[in-house]
Amino acid sequence: MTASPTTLLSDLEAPANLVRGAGKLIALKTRFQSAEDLDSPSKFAKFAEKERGGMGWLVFALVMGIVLGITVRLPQTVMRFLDRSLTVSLVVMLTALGIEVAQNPKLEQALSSHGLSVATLLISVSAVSIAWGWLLERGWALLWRER
Amino acid sequence: MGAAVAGALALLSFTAGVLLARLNFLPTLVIDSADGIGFAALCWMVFAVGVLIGSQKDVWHKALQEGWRLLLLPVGTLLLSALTAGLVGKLLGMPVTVGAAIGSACGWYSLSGVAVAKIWGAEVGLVAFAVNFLRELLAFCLIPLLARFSHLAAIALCGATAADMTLPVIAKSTDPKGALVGLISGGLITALVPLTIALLSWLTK
Repeated sequence: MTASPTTLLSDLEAPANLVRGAGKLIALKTRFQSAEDLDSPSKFAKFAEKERGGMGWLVFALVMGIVLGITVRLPQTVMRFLDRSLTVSLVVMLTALGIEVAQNPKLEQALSSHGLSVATLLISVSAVSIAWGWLLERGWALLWRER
Repeated sequence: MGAAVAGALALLSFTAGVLLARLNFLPTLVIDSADGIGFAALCWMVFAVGVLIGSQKDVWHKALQEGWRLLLLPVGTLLLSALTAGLVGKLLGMPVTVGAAIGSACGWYSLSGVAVAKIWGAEVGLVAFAVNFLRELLAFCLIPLLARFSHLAAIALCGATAADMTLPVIAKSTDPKGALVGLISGGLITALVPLTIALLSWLTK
C-alpha cells in the first residue's frame, strides 16, 4: 500500500469514497499502533504492509482449518488435542499481549489522564452489548431456538 | 475447564505478561519477539477453531438457516455501542459524534486509536484506544462466564474481535455454532466499523 495518512483521511471525508476508505482502513487491523507512528508516508506504508500480511495469515489459517475440517474426518484424539491446544495457545497469546502492553505507554497514559471517561464508556458500551445479545437470545430473534 | 477458571486464566496470563516484562524477568529476545509469538499462537488457535467448525457439518446449515436474523446481532451491537457511547460521551463533555466513534469501534483498538486520533485529535484517540483495548480484555475474562447463560451476550461483548482475537475463546466456551456465529458477527462488524467512523467523521464536518 502506498497511500499516505493524508490521502487515507481525505478519502474518509467524502461519503462517496466510504467503501474505498474502508478497504484501506481494514488493512490497519490488529496490534498496537500509535497515530504518531503513521506520520510519515514511508512508515505508514511499512505498517500497512505488515498489517495486511498479518490479516492474510489469519484468514489463511482459518480457511485451511475449515477446509481440513470439512474434507478430512480427523480421529477423536486429534480433535481432543486441537481442543486442548486452544487453552495453551490462549495462555501464550495473552502473556505475549501483556508483554506488549507493558512496553506500550499508551494505555497507562490514557488511564491516568482520562480514567473516568475510559471506565464510564467501557462499562456502558459493554453492558449495552451484553444486554443486546441476551435480549436477542432470550427474546424475539429466536437465533438459538432449536427447530 | 470451569467458566470461572477460564476467565481467571485469561486475566492471570495477561497480568503475568505485564509483570514479567515490567520486572525484567524475561530476556530481551523474548520481549522483542512477543509480538511474533503471540501472533503465531493466534494463528494456531484460529486454525484449530477452523477445524472444529469445519468438522461439524450440521452447524453450517443450522447457522445459515437463520438467514437475515443473523445480521441482527452484529448490526445491533454496532449501532447500540455507537449510540450508547455517543450519549455517555455527551454527558462526559464530548461531542456526540466523538463518543459514538469511540463506541462504534467495538473493540477494534488499533483502528480506533489511529483513526480517532487522526480525525479528532491525539487525546481522544488515546481514550478510544484504551476503551477498545479494555473491551477486548474484558471480553477475554467474561466470555466463559457470560456463555453459561447466553452465547449471544458473550459474542456481542466481543464485537469486532469475535472474528479473530476472541474467536478461540468463544469456540471453547460455547459450541461450534457459537463459533460460526461469532465469526460471521465479528467479520461483519469489522467491515462496518471503518464505514461508521468515516460517516461520523463526515457528520462532524
